[in-house]
Amino acid sequence: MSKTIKKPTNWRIVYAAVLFWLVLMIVLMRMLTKAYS
Amino acid sequence: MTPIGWIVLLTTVLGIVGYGLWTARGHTSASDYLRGGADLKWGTIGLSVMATQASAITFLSTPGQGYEGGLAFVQNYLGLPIAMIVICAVFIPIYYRLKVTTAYEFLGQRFDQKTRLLAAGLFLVQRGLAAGITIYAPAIIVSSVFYWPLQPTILLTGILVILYTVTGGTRTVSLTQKYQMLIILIGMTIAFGYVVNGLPAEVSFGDALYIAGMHDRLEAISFSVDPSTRYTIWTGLIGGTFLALSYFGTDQSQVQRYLAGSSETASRWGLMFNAVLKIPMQFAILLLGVLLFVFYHFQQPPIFYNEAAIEQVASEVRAPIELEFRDAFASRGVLLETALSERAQSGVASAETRAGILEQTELMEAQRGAFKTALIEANPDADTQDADYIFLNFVLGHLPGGLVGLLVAVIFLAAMSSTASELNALASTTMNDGYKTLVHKTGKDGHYVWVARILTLVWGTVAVSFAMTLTLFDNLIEAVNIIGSLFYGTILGIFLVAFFFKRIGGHAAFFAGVCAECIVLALYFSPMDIGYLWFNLIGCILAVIIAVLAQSILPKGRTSAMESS
Repeated sequence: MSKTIKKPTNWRIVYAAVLFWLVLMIVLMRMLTKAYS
Repeated sequence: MTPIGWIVLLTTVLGIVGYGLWTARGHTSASDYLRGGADLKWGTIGLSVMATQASAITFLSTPGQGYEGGLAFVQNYLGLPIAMIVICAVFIPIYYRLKVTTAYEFLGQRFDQKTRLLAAGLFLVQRGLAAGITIYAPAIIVSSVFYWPLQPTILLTGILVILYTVTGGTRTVSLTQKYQMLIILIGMTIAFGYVVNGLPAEVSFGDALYIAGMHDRLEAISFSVDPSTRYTIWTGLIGGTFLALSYFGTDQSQVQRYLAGSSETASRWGLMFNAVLKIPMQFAILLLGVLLFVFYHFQQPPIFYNEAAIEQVASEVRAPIELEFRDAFASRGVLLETALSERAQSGVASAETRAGILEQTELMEAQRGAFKTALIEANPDADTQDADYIFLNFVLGHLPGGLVGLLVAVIFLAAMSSTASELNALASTTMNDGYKTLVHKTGKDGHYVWVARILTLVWGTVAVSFAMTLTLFDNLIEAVNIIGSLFYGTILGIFLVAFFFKRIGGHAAFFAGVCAECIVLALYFSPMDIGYLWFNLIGCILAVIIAVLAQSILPKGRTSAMESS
């Protein structure tokens, strides 16, 4: 029987992606603020 | 409410309670009851963590915040993803390695029993108070809107939560929260659709944002450095990070959720789920409030959103106020038509038209102010804050009967999910950090399950009793955040010392915790105007600095049963 070995999660990449998402949200919300002020 | 509304409401709420009781069947060990059997997947953990944080207050007060103050409140959540990363990287591995049941158990292993009891005690005080508000908040609003008696509404909500929380413990709480959160998200999405759909056909989504922006409701991100400005990117990123770190990292009602995971990886993904979705969710709920503000530019709003209170003012007093209010609304409507046609032609409305619209809005606000004054004269005990009623007022007036039932169910489910986590955490902390360490150190498994059940019942009774004696705060979501901010900083400071300052022992940590909490409370009650989010930072920094200083003076005490990294 073959068993799939799951690769361990690279948490550094996950954390970097979450931080990128945070910055993106701040930028988008700032653009919204600017566009309608 | 219509009969179909009642059917939807009762089916949804009783269905969840029934599901909770069903999951609780069979034998439960003390570990299952307090830690949840450690078999939950990341999706359940993610929704359960989200449901614990999002109480009924979130869904009642946040649209009101959006309506009155715009999107600025979203900044409160900017620190959350950062905090989640720190918790995943530092807190979770240690909690798993030490196999703790409560966060405070870790302090007992790292420092000593008194420091563990101090942190557990601070948690019990602030969470015990918050649990009362969690039940009270929706009950006061829903009972007022539907003319239900307040005390039985509080009592019934409390009994339903206590029933399945006492029976099933942690696992049941997390599993019911998954479905509660899904129903809540569906309900709020439908409500959002109705607000957008309720705008006149000739008003586009862009026009709605334009009107909101005209009234400064779209200022989501502010770079102001004025310390008395409540919500800025700085309070969010700095104060918000500390608040979230403390809440998710050290508050047992949250720690218990992710420690129920099947593995460290499941717990981490559950938190990452929240790190990604929490800000968009809060943004959407605030935007719902902002769009309600625009909606009431085209639909005549009531002079006061808690309509049950309107009749308290004699009709001869309120008639002239309401007349001027309606006149201003009609004049503003004419100006809005002009503004939108100007915008269609040249991209922007003329400065003159914009000034006219703002003037009429101010006039309407002045009439609302006059009504509030008349309300206080008629009934000095009346509450003049109506922000928490705005969303429910819209639901009741503009959604079909069945959906009114669903949205009221959403409010009750949200209250129940948060309360369940709180009671579950209060009981396990009292049991694990108090009863098991101070009263009965060695007992049979079944004994501890029954003690935990009795403690859940006791805390439920305390929360319901407290809820029955409360009076309305300025804004309920802020009240919960303010109470949290006064205690969280100190608790977090003690945990940070435990994690990162391995030379500091129990005596210094305990002394620092007591001093920091006293200073925070003194600052809060002093005449200084400090935005409450800053107390998270102040309490935390004070605890760390005092611990470092005290360590050089006090005897070292026990430093660790584990090596902190």
